Amino acid sequence: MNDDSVTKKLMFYFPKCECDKPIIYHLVKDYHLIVNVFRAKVTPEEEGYLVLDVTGTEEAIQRAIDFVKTFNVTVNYSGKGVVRDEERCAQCGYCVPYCPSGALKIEDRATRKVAYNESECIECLACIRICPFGACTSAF
Amino acid sequence: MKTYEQINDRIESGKAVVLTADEIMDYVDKKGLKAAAKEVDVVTTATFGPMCSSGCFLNFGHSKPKIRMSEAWVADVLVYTGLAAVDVYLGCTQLRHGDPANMYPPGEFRYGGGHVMEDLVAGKTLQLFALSYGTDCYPLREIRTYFSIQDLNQAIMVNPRNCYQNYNVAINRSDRTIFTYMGRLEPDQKNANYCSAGQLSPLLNDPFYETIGVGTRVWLAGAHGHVYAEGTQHAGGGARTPDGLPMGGAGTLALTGDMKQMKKEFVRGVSFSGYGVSLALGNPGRRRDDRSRLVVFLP
Repeated sequence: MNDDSVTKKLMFYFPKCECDKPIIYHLVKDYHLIVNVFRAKVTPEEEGYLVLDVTGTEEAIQRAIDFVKTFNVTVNYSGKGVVRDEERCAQCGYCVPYCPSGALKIEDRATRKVAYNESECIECLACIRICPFGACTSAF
Repeated sequence: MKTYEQINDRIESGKAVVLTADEIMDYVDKKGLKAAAKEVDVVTTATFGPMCSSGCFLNFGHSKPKIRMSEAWVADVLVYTGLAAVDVYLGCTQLRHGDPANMYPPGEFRYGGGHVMEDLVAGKTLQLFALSYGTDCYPLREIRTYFSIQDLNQAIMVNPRNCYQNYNVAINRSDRTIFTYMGRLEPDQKNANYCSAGQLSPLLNDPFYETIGVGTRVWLAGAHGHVYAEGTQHAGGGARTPDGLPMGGAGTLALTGDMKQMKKEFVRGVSFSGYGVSLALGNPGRRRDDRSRLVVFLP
């Protein structure tokens, strides 16, 4: 891998008509990206959701995204597979020890507020099951 | 030494120096106890956490023809009707009708009385369904209608067991995960849950109930509230440290306040997986940052 390679977290939404196309194969084969899929789902309506990391040069990633966009696929750059609603969060900290990647953590020990770093999230959904306030939800 | 009159005068004239129990610690460290006592007039305390004794009395006003409700549900959550005609009592741990509870453990417990209270304070429209046996003076046998908190004559919150002075830390020494009112406890003491406002806690800052008692006015979830009685299970006579801090649960307060004045951010339905529903409530406090943590885990 080049030294100038970067990793980006993305979420793809595939409408029904694009679900059967091997798009991710081309990211690896044609754009030389390293792909790490966290979570994928095809709904009963045959829509597809995919959250993944892609690693490669900025330029290769951009070209790959341009390629993906030639299909009817929506690309979400911030990778919002798991959404945390700040308003619903009561800052209780119950989720923190259940977050295996450290995406949810208490950064400031004085305020003890829970911080959520979306790019660290590996989409395990543990926070959704544990949160008493329903602050964390899944986009799919 | 200041008198209550002097402090009240300073509050009245807008000159009172008010700090939170959090802030006063740093202030005393910096300025010393004597200077702090002289300069600061009021220290506020606060809690925020599940208060399973929370409930509320609702009065719907009379329908035409009238009904003496003998069974009733608000948003499909059963309410108690063994009261005067159109008064009901809604408890925060009551599950919604049809909830599978723990049939497939751990249950999710998505909606219950605490969530109804949150929705009421948030101003949402909810369904009332009530049945009656019918009398000469209350002939109506059934009613289904929609209302929001503004439509009610009264919505009065009561918390007969609030502000526990001290509380146990929960751990699990067995070899399987258990689901409790103190949250999910992992086997072999992998986590420890506690529920206390710590240095912010009202009764930890007043260990012998010298300033807080029946009739004390409090801030309850954004509304003016009162301590109306000693709380249920109040047991202030237990073992104490040499400093006077209770070594067990000890004191509790029974609080009440006008739910129509409450703020939705401090009245929050909660679902504890594998256990049930409750209401998390903000108590005596001054501003948003005063809310303490409900549970904190040790690694």
